[in-house]
Amino acid sequence: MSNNKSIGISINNVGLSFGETQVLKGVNLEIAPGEFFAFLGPSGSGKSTLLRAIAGFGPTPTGQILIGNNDVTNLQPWQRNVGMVFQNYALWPHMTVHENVAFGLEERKVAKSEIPKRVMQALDLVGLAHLAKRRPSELSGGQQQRIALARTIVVEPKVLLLDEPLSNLDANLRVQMRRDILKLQQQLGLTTIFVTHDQEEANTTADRMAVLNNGVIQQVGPPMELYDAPQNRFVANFIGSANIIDGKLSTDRQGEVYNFVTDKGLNLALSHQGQGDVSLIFRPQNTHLLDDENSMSDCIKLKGHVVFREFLGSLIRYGIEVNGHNISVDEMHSIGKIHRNVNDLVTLAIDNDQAIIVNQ
Amino acid sequence: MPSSNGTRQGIFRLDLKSMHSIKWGPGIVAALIGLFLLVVLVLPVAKVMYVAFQDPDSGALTINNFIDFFNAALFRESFVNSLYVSSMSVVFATLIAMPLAYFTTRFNFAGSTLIQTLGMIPLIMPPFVGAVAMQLFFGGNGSVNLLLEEHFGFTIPFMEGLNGVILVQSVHFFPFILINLSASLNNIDRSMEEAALNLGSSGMRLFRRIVFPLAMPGYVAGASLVFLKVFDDLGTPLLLNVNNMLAPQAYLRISSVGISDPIGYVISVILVAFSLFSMWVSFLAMRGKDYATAQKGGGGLLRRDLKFGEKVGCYAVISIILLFVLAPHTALGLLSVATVWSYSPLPDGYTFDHYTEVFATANQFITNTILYAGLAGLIDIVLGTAIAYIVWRTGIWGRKALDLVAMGALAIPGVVIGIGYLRMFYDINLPFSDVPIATWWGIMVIALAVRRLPYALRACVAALQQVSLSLEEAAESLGAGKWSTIKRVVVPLMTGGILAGFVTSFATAAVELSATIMLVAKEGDAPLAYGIYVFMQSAAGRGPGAALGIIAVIIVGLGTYASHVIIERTKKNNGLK
Repeated sequence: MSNNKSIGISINNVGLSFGETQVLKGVNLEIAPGEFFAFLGPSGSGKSTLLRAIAGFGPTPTGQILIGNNDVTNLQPWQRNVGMVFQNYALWPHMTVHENVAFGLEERKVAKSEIPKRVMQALDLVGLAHLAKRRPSELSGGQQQRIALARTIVVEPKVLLLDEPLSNLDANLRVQMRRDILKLQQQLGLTTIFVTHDQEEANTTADRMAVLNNGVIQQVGPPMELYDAPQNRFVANFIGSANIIDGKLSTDRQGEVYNFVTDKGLNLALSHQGQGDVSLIFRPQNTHLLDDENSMSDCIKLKGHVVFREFLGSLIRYGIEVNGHNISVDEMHSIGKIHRNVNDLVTLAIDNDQAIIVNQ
Repeated sequence: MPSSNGTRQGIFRLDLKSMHSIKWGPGIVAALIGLFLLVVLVLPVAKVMYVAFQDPDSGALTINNFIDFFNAALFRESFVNSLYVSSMSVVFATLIAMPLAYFTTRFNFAGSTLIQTLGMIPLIMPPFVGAVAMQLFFGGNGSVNLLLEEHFGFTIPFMEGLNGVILVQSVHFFPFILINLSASLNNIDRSMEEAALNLGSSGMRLFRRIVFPLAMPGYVAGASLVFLKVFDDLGTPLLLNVNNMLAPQAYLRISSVGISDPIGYVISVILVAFSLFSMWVSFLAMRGKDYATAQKGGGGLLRRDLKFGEKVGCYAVISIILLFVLAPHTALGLLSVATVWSYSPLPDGYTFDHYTEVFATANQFITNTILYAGLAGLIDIVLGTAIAYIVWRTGIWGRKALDLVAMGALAIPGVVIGIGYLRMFYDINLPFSDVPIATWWGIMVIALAVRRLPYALRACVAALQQVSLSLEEAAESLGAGKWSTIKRVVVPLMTGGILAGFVTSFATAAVELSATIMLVAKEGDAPLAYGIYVFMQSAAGRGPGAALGIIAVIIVGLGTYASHVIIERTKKNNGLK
């Protein structure tokens, strides 16, 4: 069941409204053949709506959706040959596992003699061939998930759409399942889109991802790129934890040193370029508590008081107040490590390379 | 509920002072209720069953009564007719309900709610009330046939013999299918359908393979209820003068031959057997197929907009159905204000005399009804609340049996209750008098209470299940004893449900005919339904009969509306909506 002719998806200026509410606003995306792509965003961001629009569900969007070279924007769901796995799996309770998986083949008028063979192949692929005679109600959540996957891939769709496929599973199973899905996807070479609100899920599986908020794509790229170089506050905040300080950036007379001033009175000289309302962004684990104030150079230095200390196992998280700004600092924990206490005065340092400036 | 028992035992140990009342109070109440149900439900029905297998002369056990029954052509015919009428009523009720359910759950168009509501209207009218009125519209000389004859030169025997019963029953009982079918269509998770669309299925194939099978349990539940109700019904065939069916035969044998005639008992056994059978079918259909709760996510079928042509078609079908469905009400309304209505499509003239007459002469029927149905409703909610609490909140031995017996009344046709009471209570006099209990008006109240208990009990159980156990535990941990907790926390929170249960019991008891018709000893004690029956027997009485019928419809209608309002308001107040 390998799919050597992977095809890509083009989404051109797609907009969509439910009544008065605009849910998608001018979305443009190119998904490469064979790519494992994630839509990441908070609930209500439009990620599921976009996925459903690709599958042909919901109101017809404006703009254009191409699967390969085929414009599917106005096609019915059953004419698109995209496979979709639903959040609640949507296994039909009145059919056995075998009947569920055979359904799509029957609808495609596959020769009767061939159907059982292909059903068993698909069930083998998800490792559940022995459950063929069961009803969905007799399966665990993880098993239902695999059957839903088998039901979808058995028809050899051109693209695979997964709508929050792991959200109904418990934490351990989720990790196992996402590895299995990734393996299967690589095995089949199937262009896959995965909707999730869980950044860890997206980070660990996706080749590239799109972060959505309020129906607008905020940034597209490989997970690490989005983490290291967020283009705006939203992406920085949504992917991982981030310290974000809003302020104004201006140059001195020579245009060499940049002054960053916040309305709470923090004043920093930065080597970063920029102008106007900006946000200074840096990650808690890249923020260091200095034992010796002069021990680091080429960095941004801040002074503040420890407000809280949380032991997270591998990390210790400090909350530090700097001129009324709350800064998080993560330190690796090791046995015998000396801790700061609440109310201690501390100096923080952030390497210049680890801090970025984005326009607000 | 092992954990709650654990908590309760913990309280037992702590609360030594009120331990006595905790342990014995509910037990005593349960025993008393059990005893009551034993006397007014289990024993009379058992007696009927027993007599059916008893030789009328020697008293020995025998199946000869059944052999006699099936040897008599009339009874064989009645048996077949009852089966035929019930089955055909299911078919026609399906034809009425299916398009209404499908259109309103499937398509976006104005008036879905109105259509669903109008679809429930038949239920607020006892079927026998509409039966005579339907004659005037659809009978051999009714409006429709007169018009057909005049314009097209042919007539359709809508109301001829069994046809009339089938027509009246399907028009009356189709809402059971409509309600159940709509509910299961609405409960089908949207993704069920989307998954099929995604895999290449659409249109009729999708309906046949996915939507219909998933809606099937709801349909079967509704259909078996229709079958059961029609099979048991006495009033409609009696009023249409169709006597060659089982329930009328049972009634006629007992009322004309006497309570020792075994045929009435044999018929009772058959009626109960078929009731149990259709409940079993419904149970089988529903078992393990609670598809609705098994799924999460977006509810309801995908709705789509209709094209103009389709919209016209839909509205046309719906209008025809609704006209048809509302025909009994329209005809009854017309009849109640008609001077003379015979051999003409519409009445000759209009008058309010029938209402004046009814209020002048038949007031007794109305006050009796309000008294009987009110008392029955009251008994039902007291029993319902107590049983609900005993079953769901205590560990008393035999509580499930209590629930089963109380709900079991659903399977017992009114005729059987009537016959059972006559047989059981005819020889027992009221204390301090020589009036047999069977002829005392109070026995009708008890019959009504027993027959409507399942409705009230369901309402009370639903209400109790919405009262979180932790609310009770909170009261107990603050020092309230068991009775105090029930009185101050549980019952106040259940009020809405209890009230709804009362109204449902009251409204349906107000128009009950099959048990009461057997138990009415003198006209002064008779309720509304019996009055309508008596009036409708003569041509001159039809006008006042119809006026009484309209009054009954208004009582039931107001009751149903009130119950709906109460339920909605309680849901809102308790933050469930």
